[in-house]
Amino acid sequence: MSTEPTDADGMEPGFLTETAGNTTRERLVRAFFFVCAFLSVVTTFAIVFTLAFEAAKFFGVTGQLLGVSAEKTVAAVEFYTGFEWIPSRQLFGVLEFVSATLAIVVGSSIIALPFGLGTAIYLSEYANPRMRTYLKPALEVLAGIPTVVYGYFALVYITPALDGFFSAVSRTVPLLTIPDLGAFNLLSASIVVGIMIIPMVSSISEDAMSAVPDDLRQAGYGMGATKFDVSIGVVIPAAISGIFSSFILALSRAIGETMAVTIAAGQQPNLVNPLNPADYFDAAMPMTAGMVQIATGDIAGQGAEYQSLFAIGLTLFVITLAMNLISDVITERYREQYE
Amino acid sequence: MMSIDTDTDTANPAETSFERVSRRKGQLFRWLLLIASFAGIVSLGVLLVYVFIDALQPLTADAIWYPVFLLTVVAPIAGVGLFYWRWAPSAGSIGVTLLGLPVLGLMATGATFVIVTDVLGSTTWFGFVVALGVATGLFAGFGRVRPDASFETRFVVGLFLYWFALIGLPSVPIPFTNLATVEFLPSLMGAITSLPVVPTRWAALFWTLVVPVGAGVTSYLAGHRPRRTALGAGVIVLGAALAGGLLAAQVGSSLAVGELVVLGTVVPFGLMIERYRVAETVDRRDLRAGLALPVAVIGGLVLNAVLSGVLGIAGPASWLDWQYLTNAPSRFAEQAGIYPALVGSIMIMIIVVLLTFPIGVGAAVYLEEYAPENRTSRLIRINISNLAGVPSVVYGLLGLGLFIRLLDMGLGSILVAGMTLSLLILPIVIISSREAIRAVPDSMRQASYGMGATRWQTVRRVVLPEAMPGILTGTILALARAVGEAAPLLMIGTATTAFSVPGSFTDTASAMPLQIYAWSELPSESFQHGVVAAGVVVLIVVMLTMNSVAIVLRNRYQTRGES
Repeated sequence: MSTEPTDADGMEPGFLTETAGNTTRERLVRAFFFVCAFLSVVTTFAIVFTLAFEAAKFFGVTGQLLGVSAEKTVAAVEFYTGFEWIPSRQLFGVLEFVSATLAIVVGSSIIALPFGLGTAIYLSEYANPRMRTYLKPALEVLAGIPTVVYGYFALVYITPALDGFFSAVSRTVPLLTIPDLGAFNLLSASIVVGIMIIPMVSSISEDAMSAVPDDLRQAGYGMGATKFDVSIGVVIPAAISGIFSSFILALSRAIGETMAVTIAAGQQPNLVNPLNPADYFDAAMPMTAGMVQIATGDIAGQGAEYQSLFAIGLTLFVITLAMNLISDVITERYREQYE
Repeated sequence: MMSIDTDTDTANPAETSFERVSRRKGQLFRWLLLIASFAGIVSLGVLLVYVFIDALQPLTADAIWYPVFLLTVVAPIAGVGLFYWRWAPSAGSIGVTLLGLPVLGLMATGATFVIVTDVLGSTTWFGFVVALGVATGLFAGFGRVRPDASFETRFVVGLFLYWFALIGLPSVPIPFTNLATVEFLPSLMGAITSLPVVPTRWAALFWTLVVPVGAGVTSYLAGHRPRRTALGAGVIVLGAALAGGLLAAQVGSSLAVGELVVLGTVVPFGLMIERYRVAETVDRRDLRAGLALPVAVIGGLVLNAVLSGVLGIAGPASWLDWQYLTNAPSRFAEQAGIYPALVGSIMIMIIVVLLTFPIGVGAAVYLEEYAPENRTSRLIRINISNLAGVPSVVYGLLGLGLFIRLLDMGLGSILVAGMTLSLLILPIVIISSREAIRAVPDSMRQASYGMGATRWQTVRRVVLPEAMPGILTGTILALARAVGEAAPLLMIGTATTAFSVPGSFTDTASAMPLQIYAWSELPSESFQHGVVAAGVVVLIVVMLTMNSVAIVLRNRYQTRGES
């Protein structure tokens, strides 16, 4: 047996004798693993730095400090309160994009929240184990289909189908005039975004419902409650924090969703009212679609329009990050503790 | 609200009416839940049926084609399926495996072939493999000669060997001249590729792929079979590949294609049969029954093709055909193809795999096995879960600002695309790898430490092998997500349409989802309901293949964990 720590590869004696934990190799390996893990922190800093730095060149207040001439910057107030986005006239009002994003959020949540919640209740309370093993992977497929494909579905199949349906309804039902559905519209974009975030709502909500202890259900049944009573009156209130955090996460996904809304909702800025159903029949440009349009346009430019890409991106990042953090806080703080 | 309902019900004199009303409400609720659960899946299913019909155009064939197809392809498969279902349930999974592996092998060798011949060029590939092989051989030889060399010595020797094999003495720019570089000493790889005599394409593939695979088969079999059998099997692999090449050359394809088709199908098929024969749990009769499915499918398809050819029957005029897979995009729908985008996607994925797998697994190992319970570790953990929620388009901005603006790497190059997508899926890979590593029972680690193993030895020999199926499952699922991502690629200026195959990893290229995006903006009917539909089908088939591989891996892993 050698006294020197020998290599372990393929040699059993070495495998047994090498005990020192701080040989060069152990330290090297540990350092490599640490760098891998630390890379994620670096990524976060890089995201924040990149977005903030480029956005700072866009806003007037900070742009001067970075040596950007005043004509090429935009006042932050103008950016966050303006309703018009016409870069050629130096109008950078992000609210025009935000209104469309909000419309997508409202529209998709009308689909995803009830359907996702229903799915979660079914999976956790009603489905037998066999059904669950088939249903859960099938639901995951909904989230796994590329968003480009969803956009194509909305543009080529859903919009014409809805158009035909609405015009048929308009013709047959008197006193009901439904506006024409544009080739690009918020309605079908909202529908596909809603479908793709159903699994987010259902899987996280179901986890929360499955975590509700059986004692509570048994107590409900013992008092003569039906399965319906137990689901609505016991399980949902007990799992409410998980359900809310699933809603928030799903909506943050809807806000960041890009390709489906770019393809289906169109490429022209349009101020919409998210609470007015008629506005869903028109094309509009959510924040992400706006970013795609700017990026695929004149990307070589260093002007305000190029920098505005990062300003929108920063806004998007802050909103989604805040929503994720809120959802984390809700699950951590308001989780019902059962012993 | 509930209590009010029941109150009004119980106010009724008859108790039966209370029961009936409650049950109806419960039944209604149950049905609503069922509808909610299936609404998304069913609507997606309907859309998929539409897109498959658009892409494949199944109604455009000759009338006689349908009965022929039914008899030669559908009927045998249905018969075999019925047989499995009715009489040999355990043979079914064997049959599917024996059919699925060659199909996967074919896809993998197809990707390899494209990269080796169309992108790198077979000479570069040959030089790369030979140089790598020589360096590895020398390194192993050093280990033999000096078995007691310290780790530091081995590290330096290894670095030296691989450096000279692949990089050589680096090119140095000469100041104040236009002569950009001078090479002091070319690498071994460079020396081989600049030789006046280089092997032809089929020979390069033979030496770099067929021979190593044959050697691998031999060494695998030598573990449990007589030496002579193992050697014979290796020789058979070489012979079969050559025979396949000659056969392919006879029917108008090339030697290289035939070689790889045989390598990708016959070898995995044979190895799987060998594994089943060795496994004690598999019944010989089930194995024989399992062979029926691949025979029925392949035989049926060949018979159908031959019959259609002889009788002159025209099949459906699908948009998705061989020409679509091998053509460049075109203004004319009939000639449009997805080949450059397909190659671009494969190359981006190569970068993504090379980056995410080591880094993701490394980060997971650190967090699960090494990390002390302190602020830094907690920060890293929280950070990773938050990174997973950042929209993909923001990662695109990161790539644009960091890789392209700051580091000045080429706008829209494959390398930048791969690095950006790697950053995007790294959190997912890390999270799933951590779960897989956490599932390894602690008793195994304790046993390893008890034998005096160091932490790295424990990680390498005990934890990683045990967690590998779970890690692979998570990684493949994350890769499937990366294949379909388009938004980050648009941000970093990747071309939405590429007409030629990229020549290297620093070239710009398109990717399948980007090509679909570009095409979907064309208003013409033949694009919207034809070319794009075919592209969507290709993308979905690729993703579903990756997903099913991941699910099969997970299921095998779970059943093993329970036993």
